[in-house]
Amino acid sequence: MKKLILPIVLIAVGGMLFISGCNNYNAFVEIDEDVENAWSKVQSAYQRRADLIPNLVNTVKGVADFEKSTLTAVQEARSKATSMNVDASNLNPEQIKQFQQAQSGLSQSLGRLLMVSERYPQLQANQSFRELQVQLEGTENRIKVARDRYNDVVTNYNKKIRRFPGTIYASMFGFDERGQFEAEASAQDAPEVNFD
Amino acid sequence: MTFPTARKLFLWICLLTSVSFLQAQAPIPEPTDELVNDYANLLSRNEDRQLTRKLAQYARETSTQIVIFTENSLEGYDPFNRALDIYDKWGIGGSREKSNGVLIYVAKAEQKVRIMTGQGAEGFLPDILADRIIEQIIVPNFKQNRYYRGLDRATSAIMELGQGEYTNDLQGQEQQQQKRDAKGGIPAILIIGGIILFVVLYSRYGRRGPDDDDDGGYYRGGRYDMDPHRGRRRRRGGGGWMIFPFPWFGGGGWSSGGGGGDWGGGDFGGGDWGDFGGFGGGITGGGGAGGEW
Repeated sequence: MKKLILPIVLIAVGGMLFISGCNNYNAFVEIDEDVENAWSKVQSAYQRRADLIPNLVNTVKGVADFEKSTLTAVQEARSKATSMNVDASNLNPEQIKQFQQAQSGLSQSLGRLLMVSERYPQLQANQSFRELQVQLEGTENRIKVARDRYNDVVTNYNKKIRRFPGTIYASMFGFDERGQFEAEASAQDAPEVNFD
Repeated sequence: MTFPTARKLFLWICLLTSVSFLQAQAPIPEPTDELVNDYANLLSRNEDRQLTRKLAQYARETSTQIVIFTENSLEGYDPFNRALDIYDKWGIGGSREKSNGVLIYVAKAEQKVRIMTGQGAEGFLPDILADRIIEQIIVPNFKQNRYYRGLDRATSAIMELGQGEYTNDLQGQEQQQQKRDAKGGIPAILIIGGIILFVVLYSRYGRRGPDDDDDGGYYRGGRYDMDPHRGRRRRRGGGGWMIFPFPWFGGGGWSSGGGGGDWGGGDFGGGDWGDFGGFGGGITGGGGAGGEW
């Protein structure tokens, strides 16, 4: 009888570890899916913005004799931003930071374009320019919502994988910390425009 | 099993400060049983009632929920963020799957109006059309203080756009159920393996019970899982309260609570004219448009 106690205890402890490992693994998988899902929404919101830009540039070009440098800056920032693709399985903090930098470059040049456009009455009176502005505003709002949701999900994820005892299983199963978007000081201020 | 490490403490501090920070912002009213929430008193009682009836009937037929929310002041807030917070908290829309809700937010003092579309409403009410409804219907009427006319025509326009897009059935709920059932993959095999292991161990060692004392709570839970007492005990204990201390996290919990005419007093006690079936937990992706009059 006594001989049996040790193996029983060992097996019981092993079984408990196994079950809690399973539980942790499942929880990680689930929340990892949430992160990827939230990321895909962030990307599609940014994509939506990128898709609007050729239309915007063409409209501006067609309506007004617009200053060239602003337009080329937007186009360059767009191609820079769209070339930066982050795979959902590789959302580490550096990648997110680079992605954010590329996108905020586009935000700034777009903001500048819209500010300059206010000097052109014929643009302001143009119906399709107005509609593009509405769409652009809606897209910026969608980006904001998608980013906030992504950050929430990632916060939750990072908490789970860094807490004890989850952190042991997380390193065992290879779940790494995910990057988050940072609030941009520059994005909150209106872009500066020089008229000289 | 709590290990109060410095890191965890830090996380808790972050969590607590973020919660108190959120509460420091303007409080969002609890969801009501009404589709018309005229806190700024822009509508007369009769107008409020007419709009409520119209929108509730539409919600019953199509499951698309159009909510009007008016407020005296934004108190320094951005109308988009304010409308977003209200939308998120209330969960406007027939179901989460459909998310077919539209929120018309009005701030009286700032003279701002915002249409917020749920993810399922973006299809029939894209941003451009929301903008047109604001600029061509709401703004001109609001400028002349004709609030009812503006809201009535705007909602009619939205209703027309959304006609035929959705019908009121329970499909959304069924889909959710299927989704919940279809979980699994490799871990399921691990779990089955664990169960087999457990059964084998149990049949080999479990009959004589020295281990029953060793790790009592755990094994008792496992062994007597089939016992009906367990479920009953859990239900009676109210364990859910600890997990969801905030009522709005619970989804549709509040919606089944009161009937349509509970709060209003005697004059509309009869009938379900304002009943729209409760908010279904819809979400918004940030669509819509804004304007000012």
